[in-house]
Amino acid sequence: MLAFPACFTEPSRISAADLKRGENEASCFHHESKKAVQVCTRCGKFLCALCASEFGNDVLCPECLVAGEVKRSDMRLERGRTLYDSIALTLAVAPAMTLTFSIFGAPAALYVALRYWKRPDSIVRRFRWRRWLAAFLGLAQIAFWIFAFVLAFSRRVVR
Amino acid sequence: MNHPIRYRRLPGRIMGFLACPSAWLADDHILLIGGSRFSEKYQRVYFRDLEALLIRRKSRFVIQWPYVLLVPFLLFIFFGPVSTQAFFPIFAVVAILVAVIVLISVRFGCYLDLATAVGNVPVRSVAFVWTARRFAAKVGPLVQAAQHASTTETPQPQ
Repeated sequence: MLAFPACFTEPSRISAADLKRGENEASCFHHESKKAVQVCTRCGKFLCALCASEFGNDVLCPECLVAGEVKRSDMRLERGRTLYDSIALTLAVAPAMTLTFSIFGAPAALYVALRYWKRPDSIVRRFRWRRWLAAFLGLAQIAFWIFAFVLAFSRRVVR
Repeated sequence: MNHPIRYRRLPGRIMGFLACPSAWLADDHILLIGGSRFSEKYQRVYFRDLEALLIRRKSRFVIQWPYVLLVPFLLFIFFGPVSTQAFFPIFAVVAILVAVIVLISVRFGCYLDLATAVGNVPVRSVAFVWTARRFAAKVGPLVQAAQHASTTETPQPQ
């Protein structure tokens, strides 16, 4: 066990006296009777100690917190992502191993890669090579199938 | 507001069939990635909230996809055209490899948890003691520094 100083410090508690608003003090946007102690760094609302959430150097109100999570306007609030680049690459590679299934897999891979081209990848990956590779493999397999069909039909016509 | 965060990989990686959990380090938090191959779920633990790193030594068997590389060998020696003279050495090598994997899992397996005031957050990407130690060596000083800085910054009540 590796203990840090936070393990030995008492958590800060908010008492009712801390929240009570004086006569000439600003009130919280959500709670009129409570004293404003912070300002939301995104929308500028006055917030009491209950409503303010600290994220690094920023203070966010509950609305901005939800907006950041839902609209993905802030990376620190994201809870998950769908990896369309991995889906596209799997669709391009896995069916190609059986060759025949690539006739379905290649267009699907190309569709997923292009349809979700602008969607963000993993939060930690810096390069978009999976997407490019999936699109390239999808196109290459489609070209192969077109070439194979053309070859097969042209031979039939010749006979 | 949406500033890109640069993440650095922390020690520990499990190459599972369905999931590849991993842990990443940012300037002020640890990012734990779970989920599956096609989706990621994020969990963040901020340095200032981290109370302790708990390493529990316990046997832990993690099935990873590189282990599958042993399967063709096994199929080959059981069903392939292998002579009796070659069968036993190949089988012995495979058996020793399996025994080593099991022994390491039993002897050096561990669970790592990040303890916070509201509960423990398991770090699934760390499965062995030496990885947990490297994790602690990397994260420990940063957390100490962050918490020391926050306690000195906060004005103490008179």
